[in-house]
Amino acid sequence: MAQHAISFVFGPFRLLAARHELLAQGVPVTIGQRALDVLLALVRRHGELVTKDELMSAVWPGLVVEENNLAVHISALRKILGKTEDGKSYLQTVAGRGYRFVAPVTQEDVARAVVPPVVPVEPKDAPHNLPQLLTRLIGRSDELGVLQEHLKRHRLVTLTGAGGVGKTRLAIETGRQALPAYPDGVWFVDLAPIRGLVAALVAEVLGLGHASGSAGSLAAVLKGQQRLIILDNCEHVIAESAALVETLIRTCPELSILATSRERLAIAGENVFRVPSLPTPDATDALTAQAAQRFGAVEMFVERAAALGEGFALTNQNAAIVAAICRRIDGIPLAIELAAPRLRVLSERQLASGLDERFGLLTGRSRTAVPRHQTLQALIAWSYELLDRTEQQMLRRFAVCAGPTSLASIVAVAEPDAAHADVLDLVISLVEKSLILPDRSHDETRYRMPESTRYFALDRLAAEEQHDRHRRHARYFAERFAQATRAFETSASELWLARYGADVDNLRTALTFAFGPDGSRDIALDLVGCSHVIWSELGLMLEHRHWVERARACVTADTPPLTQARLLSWQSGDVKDADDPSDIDDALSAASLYRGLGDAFHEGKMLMRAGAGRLMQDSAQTSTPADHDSGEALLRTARALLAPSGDTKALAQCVSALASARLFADDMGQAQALHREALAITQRLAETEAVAASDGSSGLRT
Amino acid sequence: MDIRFEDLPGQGSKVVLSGRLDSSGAIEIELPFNAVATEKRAVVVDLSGVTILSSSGVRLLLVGAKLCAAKGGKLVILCPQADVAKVLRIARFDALAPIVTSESAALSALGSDLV
Ligand SMILES: Nc1ncnc2c1ncn2[C@@H]1O[C@H](COP(=O)(O)OP(=O)(O)O)[C@@H](O)[C@H]1O
Ligand SMILES: [Mg+2]
Repeated sequence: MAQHAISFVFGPFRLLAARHELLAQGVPVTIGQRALDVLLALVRRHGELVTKDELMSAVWPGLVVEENNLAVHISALRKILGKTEDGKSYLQTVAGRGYRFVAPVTQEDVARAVVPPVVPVEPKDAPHNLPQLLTRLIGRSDELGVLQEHLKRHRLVTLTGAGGVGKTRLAIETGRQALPAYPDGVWFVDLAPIRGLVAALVAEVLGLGHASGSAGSLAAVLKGQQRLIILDNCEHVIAESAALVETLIRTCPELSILATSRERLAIAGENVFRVPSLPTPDATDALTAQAAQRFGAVEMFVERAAALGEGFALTNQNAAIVAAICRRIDGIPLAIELAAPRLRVLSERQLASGLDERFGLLTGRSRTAVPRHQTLQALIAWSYELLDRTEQQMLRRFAVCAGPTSLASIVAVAEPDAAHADVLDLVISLVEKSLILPDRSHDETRYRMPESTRYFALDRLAAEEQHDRHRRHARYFAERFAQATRAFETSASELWLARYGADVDNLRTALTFAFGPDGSRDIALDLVGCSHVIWSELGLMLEHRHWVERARACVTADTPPLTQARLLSWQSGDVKDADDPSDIDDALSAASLYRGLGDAFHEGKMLMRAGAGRLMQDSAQTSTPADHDSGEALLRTARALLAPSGDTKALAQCVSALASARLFADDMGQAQALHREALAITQRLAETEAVAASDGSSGLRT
Repeated sequence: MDIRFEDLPGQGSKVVLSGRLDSSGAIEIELPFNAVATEKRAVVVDLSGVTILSSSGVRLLLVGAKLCAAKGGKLVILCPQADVAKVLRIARFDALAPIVTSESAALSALGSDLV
């Protein structure tokens, strides 16, 4: 297969990505492998901030590394690169966060570079939310070419194939290449964590209005827009996805959809592209290392094996065996990721014969006819059987979690009685086997399970235990969000969101379970009552409204007053409803429930909200200035109730709203004084938080 | 959170905001912002320097728009960054105040409100 040889050109340098080589004025530069990896990661995303964590996981995938190792390579790079022609640095340090490659870069496709086309790596104009992947794309140039053509001719292209074959990866890269063709952007929507609400999720990811939560209204909003929407993992919600896609395609002539799914959507106009595995050499080929490396599967295996840091290299001696390994696992990328780490404990030959045995069992000797998905299943099963019992148990239980999950949450859901350090050991050993993936894009390292592995592990979890774990998971997240809601009062939103935002997939999973047939209404109502802040901070207003409405439909006379008060404490966040009288009524009802419970702080907070809402209504009616009193009176009562709890966001908001009330009453002197008071409260909150953060009390970093 | 004011011809004022317009940011500017919105008929809010807009920020802008409207005037949003524009759209703010991408468009959206 023709290999794209990409090179990046900046100043006098040329960086040859595939050959891992840096040339200065055409002459190879001596540079360490790690430093080169760092450079590549930065240049691939030139102009963008690449965080330290991203760099570390690009260069030391799966390993825990000291930050100053990175600093060493950066300073080596600075020495090698020097300054640009106009005396500027190539690399910019973004203090405390990461680095940015700031010099202009052009990308050349050497294979076709008779007349080198100078193409910017990424067109800057079309908006997108494509995930930035840390591993290099291997092969796929033919598929990418074909898919660009398909997208030009068909409005719906579905990538099908077994789990792990590379559908998601290919969809993302296709989207990236297609950016110039879609002025309104390319939007990636992962449907894996949801079981319904497909249209609402799409509307939110695309940043479209409230009015677009159903297929029909979403179509109306998208009409006339030149967008590409990537719907990843449609198989979970196949009927709903198919119905949505059908409506969109019918109504929006300029819209294109790229779906990934184990099965086709089966609707008119669908163009199905079966994603092939990465190419593997034939058994008959006599192979040198160089020849073997030209096959995508071998290239990927070699890259993953070399990354283990155990000194693996492809040689003329082991090329044929490596080729045999890749053939046996059908060149499936996820299977390669699972197989390569076995080289920590097995030789290439042992790995090959181990695989032989497995697949011999599967097919009764003739191993020609193992279907793709069985190959992967067999490999996951093999990896699973090689785990010790505690690791197996951890994998099964962890499968209940969804999306990036913190160590503390894993402990709580999977092994509440174990020490964190022991659980961390288990987790790391699963990471080393590629059964779970580290995710360093958050405030602390989190862990995820690839979907195929997750299904396998859930299948192994006995029905009864599955129910048990889900219940524990849902309870735990109800508690976690209750705690998050309390913490919000005294945290900077920025830090708060970094800590809790990534838990939204776990929240969705918990809600789905709790409202489901085997769930528990009590847990469901707790979850909804405690998650208002996360939805509104993430701007997920449609989902928020959906869950609140479901919860409120379950409220009965027996529902405890605290639960009722919490459910009433939501704010829609929608401008049209922000001063909606029903919002004010909800706040007042919640306040009186809290009063009955003797919870002065929350009573005050709800009165503050009602007061601010009323003030907003009043202020728009200049004709009746006397009405200002009612809003202001509520705010005064609220303040008296909030103050005993010390400095909180609610108190600062209340005092600030009182300042506006004085402004509207033309009492500028008082208004100024109250304003200064509100500022002092936020200032004190920020200072206390800075102290807490420097205590290291913000959690375990791995 | 930073707030600056520039005069526009006639009854107008331009408010230039920058930083994070989240709950703390909103508290920092609530009073000066409301003061301008109470006094002026035509207000252009330049959001190009705002990196984060939370629901408290949206509410602040909403009050501003209502204060202007109460005097028969108008508030116009200028140049929000992509993420901020997304929040405004989700909150349906665009139904309440025009969102424009150039100063001249802002001035023409204000039109007769300026005088
Ligand atoms: N061409 C490729 N180059 C490098 N890595 C790949 C490639 N294709 C897939 N992978 C990796 O293999 C794993 C499985 O691929 P993925 O796209 O998630 O499969 P699927 O969506 O079909 O289940 C992922 O970790 C992905 O990043
Ligand atoms: Mg996938």
